[in-house]
Formats: sequence, structure tokens, C-alpha cells
Amino acid sequence: MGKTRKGSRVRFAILGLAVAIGFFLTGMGPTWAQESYRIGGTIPLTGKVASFGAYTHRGVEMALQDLAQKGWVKGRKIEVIWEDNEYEPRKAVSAFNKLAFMDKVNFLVITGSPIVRALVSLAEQNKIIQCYTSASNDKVRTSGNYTFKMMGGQVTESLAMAKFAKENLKANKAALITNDSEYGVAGADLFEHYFKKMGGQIVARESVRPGEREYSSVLTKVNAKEPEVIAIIQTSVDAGYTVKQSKRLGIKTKLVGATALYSSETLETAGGDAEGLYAVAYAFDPKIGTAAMKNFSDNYNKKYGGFPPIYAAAAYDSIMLYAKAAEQGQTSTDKLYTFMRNIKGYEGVSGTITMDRYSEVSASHRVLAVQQGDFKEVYRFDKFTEEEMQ
Amino acid sequence: MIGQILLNGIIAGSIYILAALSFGIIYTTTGIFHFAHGSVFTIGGFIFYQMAVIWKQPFLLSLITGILSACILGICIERFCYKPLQELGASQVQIFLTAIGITIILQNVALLIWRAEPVVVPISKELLKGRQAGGLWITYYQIMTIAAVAALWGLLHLLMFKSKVGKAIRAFAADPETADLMGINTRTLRILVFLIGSAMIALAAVLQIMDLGMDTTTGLGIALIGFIAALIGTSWGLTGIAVAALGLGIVENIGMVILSNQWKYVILFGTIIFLLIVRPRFLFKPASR
Repeated sequence: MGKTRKGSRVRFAILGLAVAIGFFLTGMGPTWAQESYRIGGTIPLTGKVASFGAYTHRGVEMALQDLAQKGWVKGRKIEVIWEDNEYEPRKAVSAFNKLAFMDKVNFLVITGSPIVRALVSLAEQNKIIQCYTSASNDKVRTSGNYTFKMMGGQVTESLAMAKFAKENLKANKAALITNDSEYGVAGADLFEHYFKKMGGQIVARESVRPGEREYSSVLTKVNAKEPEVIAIIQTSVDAGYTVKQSKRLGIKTKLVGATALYSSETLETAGGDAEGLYAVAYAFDPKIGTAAMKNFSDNYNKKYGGFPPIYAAAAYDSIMLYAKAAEQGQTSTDKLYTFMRNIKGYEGVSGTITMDRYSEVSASHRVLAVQQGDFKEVYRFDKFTEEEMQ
Repeated sequence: MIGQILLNGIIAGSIYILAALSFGIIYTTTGIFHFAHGSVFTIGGFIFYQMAVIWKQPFLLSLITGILSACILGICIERFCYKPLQELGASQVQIFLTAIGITIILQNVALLIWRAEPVVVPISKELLKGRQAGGLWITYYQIMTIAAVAALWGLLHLLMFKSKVGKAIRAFAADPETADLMGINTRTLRILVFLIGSAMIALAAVLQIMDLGMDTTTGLGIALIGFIAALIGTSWGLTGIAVAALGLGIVENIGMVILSNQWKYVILFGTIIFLLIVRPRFLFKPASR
């Protein structure tokens, strides 16, 4: 009996030791394979503008794939924790809090005007670096330097639209069709400001809900005011429907769109009705741009089909910049912030990146027209002066 | 402009007619507020898309598969959810909550499979080209849609008022217990009305997806307008429901012009709240059920 009891105790001790070693090994596991760099992302993964959020997601995924092929950052992986915000500021704030305080990331990728507006002051207060991958408006531009606006802003975009409409298309009367979103409203306000400043008149301004498919009555109403140009500030798919339905109603007025229209989704949705559509775009050109742009565009097309919009390229560059900072050992908050603020002449897939005093990429614009089913450059602006942007 | 707006309203209203009639036949017969009807729209439409675009199957096969899938789904919801609940003595609220749950589940399943981006089943560009007639602009596809809906409305009317099956359905709707006692197979009738309703809403999805496209949330929006129309027009039977749906399409478009597109749901729900409160006699007869 004694022998048996002693034998049992030995067996239990061995078992306990094995379990302890097992826990120890498991606990050690991640540190033997080096701990990943952890960053976060909050974008609309579902909901009515999920197609827009998808661009940022794809850009990030492509960057991670490329980094993986190169062996990551000195063997250390970059892991992105995604949180869906359904394009709702309230959910974006919850996502931010979770990422910043529970997951303890100090670098986020975000997109969407209402999202950045909700998060810019939070990022500033809590010193969380954010890379924002869509166009900023004038309020967001000056609201916080911890939010890095990776593709320039609506100030220059709207100015380019207004200038092209007034000076190139010789329009004196314009109508606006915009999404009822932060982006749409800010873009419309800026367009109206610049167009009127140049002596033009806004004859109609209509807001439509994002994700709406039926614009016939809105277009009928706008067209009744006989504008000489219709400015469209919507997401790519919504704009595609607007363009398509305008042709169905026999509307021959010239259509000028914001940068969101420069996408393969607009062409797919509008089909042959997109012919003659103008879209303002950034210098990012996947067809005739730099080798890096073309390579990125080819890879995007292989993986997802169509050409990449600038949001995907901006997201890609955001991750690559983080990886560069990581290579230099600058991923602590203060060092990462300084690194990002001092970016000058970085050749990314979205173009040459130089941060201005507002942590925004200084951008120049061009205008493209749909000709024979494809976007072709028809005009290029020089960088606007501060005086022009007033 | 006014003529174009009215025409736009009729075009929009034609899809709403299908949604309203399909919901109405179920509601007036079984008394069930089939809130999950919007999900049947979604699944039917997306299966049509999956067959026609992803798997590149012939149009007719894709169409039949989409409609059949919607019918099977609708019947399954009736057999495995609503009927057991009714037999357990569940209240209308409980059944309604169940329907909401089914809607959420199916919407998320659709989202997982087909993701959030809108999809379109491409058709001939000639059908979608705008043509001018008498100062108004319309496409051949829109003319076809209006004609198809009118034909379906007519067929449903014939079924309900000129056939034995229709007579049995109306008897069941008027008094289910007596209908049962009279030897009418009420179990089969319930399946039949869900079959007809699901087939019609699937057709609405097919018409929608070939023109404006759809995403996983489109069904809920269209079905909601169908519900509103059915509630407004139910006193006058299926004709009243169809007219109410058409009226809502026109009111919606006029409202968008007078106010703004953003007011769409305010206009629609405001209309029904107003009508339900005021209850004009010409619209609301004493209920027979």
C-alpha cells in the first residue's frame, strides 16, 4: 500500500511537472519566435460604405503580404488588429478605445471623414498615431498632428474641381449632388466657396443618402435648374449610379466628380454611360505613374481586379512607413511621431510623400476624363498656393 | 419635370407593388407579419446572382434557381418558425421578434457569403439606354418591369378570384377555423401562400438586381415599403395594396423633389403614421379579419 501511494505521488509529480513544462513552453512560445509588432485599424468592413473601407483593407493586406515575402521587419511580423466601425463615429470611438487601451497599439490606420472627425482629438489627447487614408477636409486638416493625412485633402480637391469647372469647362452655373456624409457635405461646402469666389453661381445642391441606388428624381430636380456643370461628390459606386441614371434621363450636362470617382468601380457601375465623365484625381496614376505605382497597380489587379484607387495606395504606404520606422527601432510613440512628422520625399506607391506642418501629405491634382471606357488625363494643376486655398 | 417625377414614381412603385402584394397575400391570409420577407428577397436575389454571374449558368436556370431558393426559404420559415410558435400560443409580438431574429441571421449569412459590396447581374446595354417619349425619359428595361409587374398583378388577381385555389385562400383568410372544418386543407394553403409570396418577392429581387443592383441590406428597405403599403391598402384587398404601393412610390419621389432625398424614409413613415392616425374612411374599411 505504502509503495503504491509513493508510486502514485511520483506519478502525480511527474504529471504536474510535465504540465508545468508544457505551460512554460507555451508561454515561451511567442518569445522564442519574436513577438509581432501590433498595430490597429478601424474601417467600415460592413455596412453601406463597406466597399469604400475595402480599399484601405486591401492596401494594408498587400503591404503585409509584401513585407512577409521580405521576411517582415528583421524577422518580426507586423500584425494588424482590425475593428469594424460600419462607418459610424460611435462605433469608431469604441474601436479606438479597444485598440488603444486594451490591445495597446500606438499606430492605427483609419478611413472615412466622420471617422477621422470622431477620432482626431482622441488620437491627439492619447498620443496615438493615426494614418488617415482618405481626403481630409479643412477642419480635420488643422485639428491634430497625430493624425497623418496620407493623401492630401478636400481643400485642394474641391478647389481643383471648381477651377476646372469654371476655367476649363467655362461653366458659370453649377449644381451639386453630394453624399449626405461628412465627406460629401465638406466637399460641397468647399466647392461652393471656391466656385462662388471665382464668380460662379450654384443653382442647385442636393444631398443624397450614401448607398442609395435610385437618383432619378434628384437628377430630374437638379437638371430642371439648367446647370452648366454638375459636380458629384459621392463614393465611387454611388457616383456610378448617379452617372448611369443621368444618361438615362437624357441629361447632357457635363459631370465633374471628386477623387472617389476615379476608380474602376465607378466605371463598372456606370458602364458605357460614364463616357465623358470628368474626375479630379491626385498625382497617383497606376497607369503612367512611377514603377512603384505600376507594380502596385498590377498586383492589386491580380488580387482584386480593376485598378487601385488612391485610398488603397495610401493605406499601403502607411504600413510601409511603419515598417520603415520599425527597422530603425522607432516604434515607441514619441519616436514614431517624430519619424512620421519628418517624412520628406519618401517615394511611396501613392506618390512622393512629404508631410506639411499639419501632418498632411502635400498633394497636387490632375483631371481625368472617361474616353473609350477608360480614364485619360486631360489636365494637370500645379500645386495650389496658400492664397488660392483661402 | 412633374411628368418625369410621376413616371419615376411609377417605376419605383412597380417594385414596391411586388413587395407589397407578396407580403400582403401572406399577411391577409395567415395574419403573420412576415418581417423576414426582406431576407427572402435578399437570398433569392443573391442566389440568382451567384448562378448567373459567378457560376455563369444560363439565365433561365439562374432565374428558376433564385426563385425556387426563395420559395424553399419562405416555406421553411413558415414550417419551422412561425407554425410551431403559433401552435405554442405565441403572441404576435413574439412571432415578430422571431422574424426580426431570422432577418438578422439571414442578412449576416448573406454578408459572410457575398460580402458587403453591391452586385449587379449585367444585361443588354440597349435595354438600359434612356429613350425619350413625349418629353419623358424611360428605358426599355423599365417598360418591361412595369409590364411584368402588371402581368403578375393580373395573374394574382385571376388566381385569387377566378380559381378554386383562390377561393379556398380567401375562405381561409376570412375564417381559418371554419375553412378547416369545411375540409379545406389549411396546412397546404399556408404553404401555398408562402410559396406565392416568396416567389413574388424573389421576382422583385431579380428585377432589382438586373437594373439598380443590390446589396445585403436592399431587401429590408424594399420589404419595409411593401409592409407599409400592405398595411395602408389591406382594407381594400390586394388591389388596395398594389395601389398603395404605387402611391408610395409616387409620394416618395415627389417628396424627394420638394424636400430632399434624405427625407425618403421620413416621408414614407410619416405618410403611414398620418394615415393610421387619421384613418380616412375611403382608405380604411372595417376589418373583415
